[in-house]
Amino acid sequence: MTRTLFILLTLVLSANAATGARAASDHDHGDHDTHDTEHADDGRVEIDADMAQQSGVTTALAEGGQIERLAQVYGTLATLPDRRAVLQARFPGVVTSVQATTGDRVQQGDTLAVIESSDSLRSYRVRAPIDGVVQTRSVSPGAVVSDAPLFTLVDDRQLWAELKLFPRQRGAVRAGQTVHLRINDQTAEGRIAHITPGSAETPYVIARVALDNPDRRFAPGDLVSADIVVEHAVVPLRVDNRALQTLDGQTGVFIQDGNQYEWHPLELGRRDARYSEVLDGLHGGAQYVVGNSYLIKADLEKAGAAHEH
Amino acid sequence: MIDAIVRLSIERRYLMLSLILLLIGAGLWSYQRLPIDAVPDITNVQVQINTEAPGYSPLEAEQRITFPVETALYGLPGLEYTRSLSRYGLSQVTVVFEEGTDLYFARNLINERLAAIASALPPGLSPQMGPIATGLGEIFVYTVDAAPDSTQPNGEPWDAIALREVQDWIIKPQLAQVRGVVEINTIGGYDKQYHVTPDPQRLLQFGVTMEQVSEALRRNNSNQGAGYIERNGQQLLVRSPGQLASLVDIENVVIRQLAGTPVRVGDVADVAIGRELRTGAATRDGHEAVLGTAMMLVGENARTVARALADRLNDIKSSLPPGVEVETVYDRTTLVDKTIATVQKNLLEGALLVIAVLFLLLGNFRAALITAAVIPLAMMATLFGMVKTGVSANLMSLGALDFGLIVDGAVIIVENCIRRLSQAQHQGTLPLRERLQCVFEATTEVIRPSLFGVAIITVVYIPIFSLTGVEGKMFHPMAATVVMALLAAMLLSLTLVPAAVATFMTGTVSEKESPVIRAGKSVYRPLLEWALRLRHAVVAAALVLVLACGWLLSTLGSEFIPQLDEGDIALHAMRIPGTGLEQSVAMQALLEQRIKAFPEVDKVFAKIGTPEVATDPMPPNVADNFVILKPRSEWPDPSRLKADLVAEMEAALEKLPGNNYEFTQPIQMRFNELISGVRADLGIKVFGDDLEQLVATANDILAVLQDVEGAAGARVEQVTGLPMLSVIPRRLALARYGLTVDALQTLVATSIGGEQAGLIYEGDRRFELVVRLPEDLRRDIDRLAFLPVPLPDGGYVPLEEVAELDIRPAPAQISRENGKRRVVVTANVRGRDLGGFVEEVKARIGQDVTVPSGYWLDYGGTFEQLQSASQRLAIVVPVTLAVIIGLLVMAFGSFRDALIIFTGVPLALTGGVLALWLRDMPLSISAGVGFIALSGVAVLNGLVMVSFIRDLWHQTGDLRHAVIEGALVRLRPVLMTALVASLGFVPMALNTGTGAEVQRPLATVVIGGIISSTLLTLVVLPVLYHWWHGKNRQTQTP
Repeated sequence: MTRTLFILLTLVLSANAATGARAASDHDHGDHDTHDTEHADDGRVEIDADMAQQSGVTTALAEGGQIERLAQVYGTLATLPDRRAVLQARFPGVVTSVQATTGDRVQQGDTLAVIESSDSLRSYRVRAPIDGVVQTRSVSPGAVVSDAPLFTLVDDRQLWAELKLFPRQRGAVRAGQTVHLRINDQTAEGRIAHITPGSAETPYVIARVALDNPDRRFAPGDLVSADIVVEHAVVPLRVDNRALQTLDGQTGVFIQDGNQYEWHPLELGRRDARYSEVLDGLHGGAQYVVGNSYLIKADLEKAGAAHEH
Repeated sequence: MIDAIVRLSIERRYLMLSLILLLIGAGLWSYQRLPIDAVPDITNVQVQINTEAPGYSPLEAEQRITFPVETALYGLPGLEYTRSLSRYGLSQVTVVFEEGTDLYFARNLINERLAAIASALPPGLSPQMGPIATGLGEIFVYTVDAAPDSTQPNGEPWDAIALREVQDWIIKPQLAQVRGVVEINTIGGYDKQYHVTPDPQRLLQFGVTMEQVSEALRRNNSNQGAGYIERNGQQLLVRSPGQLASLVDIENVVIRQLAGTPVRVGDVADVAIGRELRTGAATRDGHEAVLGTAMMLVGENARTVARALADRLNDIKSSLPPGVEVETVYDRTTLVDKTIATVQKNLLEGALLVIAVLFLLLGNFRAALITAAVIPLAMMATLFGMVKTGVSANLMSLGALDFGLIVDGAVIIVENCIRRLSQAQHQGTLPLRERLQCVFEATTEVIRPSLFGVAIITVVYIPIFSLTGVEGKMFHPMAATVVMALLAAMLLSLTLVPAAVATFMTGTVSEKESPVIRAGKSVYRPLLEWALRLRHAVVAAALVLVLACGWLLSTLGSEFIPQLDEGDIALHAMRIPGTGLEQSVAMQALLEQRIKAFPEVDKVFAKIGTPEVATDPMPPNVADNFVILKPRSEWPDPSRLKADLVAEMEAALEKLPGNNYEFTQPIQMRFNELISGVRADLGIKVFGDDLEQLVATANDILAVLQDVEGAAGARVEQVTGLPMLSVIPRRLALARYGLTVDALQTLVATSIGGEQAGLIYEGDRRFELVVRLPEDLRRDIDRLAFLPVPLPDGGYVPLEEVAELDIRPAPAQISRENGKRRVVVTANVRGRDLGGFVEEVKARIGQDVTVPSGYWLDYGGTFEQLQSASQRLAIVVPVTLAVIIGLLVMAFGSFRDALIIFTGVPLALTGGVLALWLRDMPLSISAGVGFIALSGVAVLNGLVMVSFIRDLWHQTGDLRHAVIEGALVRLRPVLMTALVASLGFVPMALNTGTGAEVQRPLATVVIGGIISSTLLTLVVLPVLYHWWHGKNRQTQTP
């Protein structure tokens, strides 16, 4: 009977041992993980120069430079108030002749029309008060005019970009700041002349930028997109934004040292579209990874990369 | 009854023989219909429900799709469990049914439930069930690629969009019609889209919103039928075509009138062919490509379907535009053919060896042929049975077939017949009647033991049927096939064999005692007599041998199932969560170039992220690489081991930065993806609502777990890690501007993700018309803050005025099981027993971890399966042994004899253990199956031997004489059955072809075991019999 028992035992044992093999394969898996975790703990990875070059890893020298922080706003072009004239007849009368018509460019002092006064029956001239273009003309010879506008003159050699500043943007914008304007795919530059409050109904204030328009590329009413340089500083140390990665909730860069790449968490200050100011965590002259910095992060953290279904 | 059958078979022998034709016919018919594949299908009964939700983040996908779908499935009949994952743009619910549930029935049930919840889901989203395929379904993969320097008809080089168009509209529709194909799944390239990209500045200028652009496109892009009119007896159909057909058409759509002038789409937006926001990409040999995967319908014949696909693909080549190349990169046929070739070779060589042995030992060619004829006939019957029971032909099901084992019954009968015939013929040729009578007597003399023997071999396979899960699916076909073959052989030896002997063994039956047997007998007799004298020593030696092998067994390494070498390599390349698709593609290029540099590699291709039909929804940071190796003859060193190559590849790839790898094989990978349970020893699942709380609790558990002795590689499943940019509405500010949250969200969604505004038709081909921001603006997060949000009464406000922008990590994927969120903590166990470990962990967690109310734990993992398997086997194995003893007792009416025969089992096992140890093989389930087969053979041998000795003893009354003479008479059949059974397995044990690694342990065990069992049956069994019965008689007759 004991023999039977023994056989039974052997069989159950062999079955157990066989099923236990599944565990063995998983142990290997576990090994692998711990190995990689150690690898990642010191925040340092090694990549061959060849490999780095093939993967598009590039570096740059950490140095000082400009930081230009921009705010993007929209607005429209408008004529300057003193560059626009609406002409009316001084005395009601009959228009005897009209010298200028819509679109004509006139000089200050040019005669635009002659009107014979109904009272005195004497003729007088209507002269252009400013240089400009005849935008509208609403008289023809023979018409009797009283106080209706005769001509509108506009001088568009200089325009205003009226930019709308919404509350969140307002704080950083000051008069005198440089503005990069983009109008119909053309660019121009200017400075904020002044900021005026909007009306009670509008949530925004208006910043005006004078814009020279000698060749009349722009027209009043054009939509302007503007980048206001709200902050311009020369900082002792800045890094390229493409270099920044986040690791464990901290932002930083990878410093290259031969084939070694080391993680440096940074304290960052101001930033613009391309660069960020470095307050702490990096010294000038370090080679930091710019191109494909994600790859270094990926290599550092790859222990966590698993395929979970 | 048995006598009646045998008598009938002999009397109606010609009828019996004509039945052969019927059997052959059935066999051939079955062969045509038998599904053939490389390995058994181990996928469970599951249905995937995929819902594509473009733009949905994991949280939204879970809340609005996954949850309603899961809830709808509650209470389905046969439902085992559901699991789900919610990811960017995708909700996938996997429904697993109990084994044996009809897949079509299950799909029907799900369909019904899904129809009911259609209204509860967000509009425009519809859940789709995955293809009706299993883990073996991906049988054929091809790439669509451009020849170098080739150009499209319009002069531009072929790009990923154009190639995808060729795949979607030329190749796929043709391949999808191949019989047995359920789905052609595409990954890679970009779906062609018509992109309308409004410039925010121009929108402001013309006072137009994105919404108006989409609206205008929607209203100006349809054909309409207008009935018909009859004119002069003729019917005239009326229609008004208004579909947009070209980029210019789109540009000219009018959005509104501004001061009398129309504002056209072209005024505010650029219109161009663009790329979809894709979720998956494919690469080949280091560059992007388009990949098509053909999935086979459940139950189809992989080889046939793959062949048909290859043929069709060849035909398609002629219809492709010049410059486009299509190439098959993975074809299951190759593997199936190789595997089947291995099996065929083994079976054929085995059969030939068996015939040779029969001839050699029987010394009668005709008798040998009759016995050998049982082999193909049993095979035909088995094929028929396989088709009827739905077992597919593969490495496992055909792998354990040993023709030696199958013909054992026939061998015993034929041997006895010719022995009796030749004895009877001493007086000259027998008349017919006497000859038939002689055959009948000879058959019935041994039929009972041999029937019992076969019955017992069948019974020992029962424990295999008790295996469940993956092991069950692997080995049930094997056991089923063997049992079917044995039953067929048993039937044949009852009917056909006696009939054939009676018919063909006419004339002088020359039974030449072959020299082998003569030599054997001359050695055997003195050996037996010597053993009977030294019985104590012999029994003691046997006992020592058994104990020693028991110890040896415990020192053997173990592996679960020897893995079938598929010939190709698959590897997961994993990057950190949050890695973008383009970054992944760039990293993939380096990886593939490195792999391609190996001289053994023919092609390498990869799938990154999720394909069109989300059968395997991977995030963009994971790539499935397939490395197709060249034929061995083209390797620099053809004898190089694959493991060696894999090791070198792993070492080389380890140098590439940023990737983690997991090496596997194509089919194996697919199985893992589909089965996908917890793969560690212990998995503690934390269920609950709040993800953060789940992670916190999981981390508490992890801390406890790491303290427990024996825990190795404990870790918490990674949940977060996908950085997410949230645009959080500021409600007060929105109110001030008269905006609604919805308006804001729609704007953000349209701007970044794009909004579908209709379809553009080009013949059958249809492409989406999408409105979204220009690419440079979409990608510029800094500028997103300034995006103008149009106000209801005209004017605008910058986005940052009405919303907060916030980037922080968020869940990359939300996993749920049985309708609840879960986070898994896994650990493996080293150096202590699993059961004790789990108990301690449970106790410690109960003590140290406070699980908040509403949260609960579930312990799972392989320990569960191990426990249940051990428990089941602990019941089934003893029961099986009891059944065997019961059968033996039935056969002999003596418990003692039954036990004596039973001693053959441990003695047989010793040889198996020694053989494993000698060949340095680990213990595996395959080897276990070998041991099982072995027990059967051992019992069969003992049975025949003991029954003869007993009969002789009863006839003569002299125990010692009976033992010696009986044993001598049975020497030939015992040697024969042993030799055929072991030689039948020799090709299998030595083969190195594809698939041999699964069969080798089995064959090794059986060969080793049979050698030991035969020797011991011949020596120890008679000794034991003599000892026990002799002692007993003395005590009975003092």
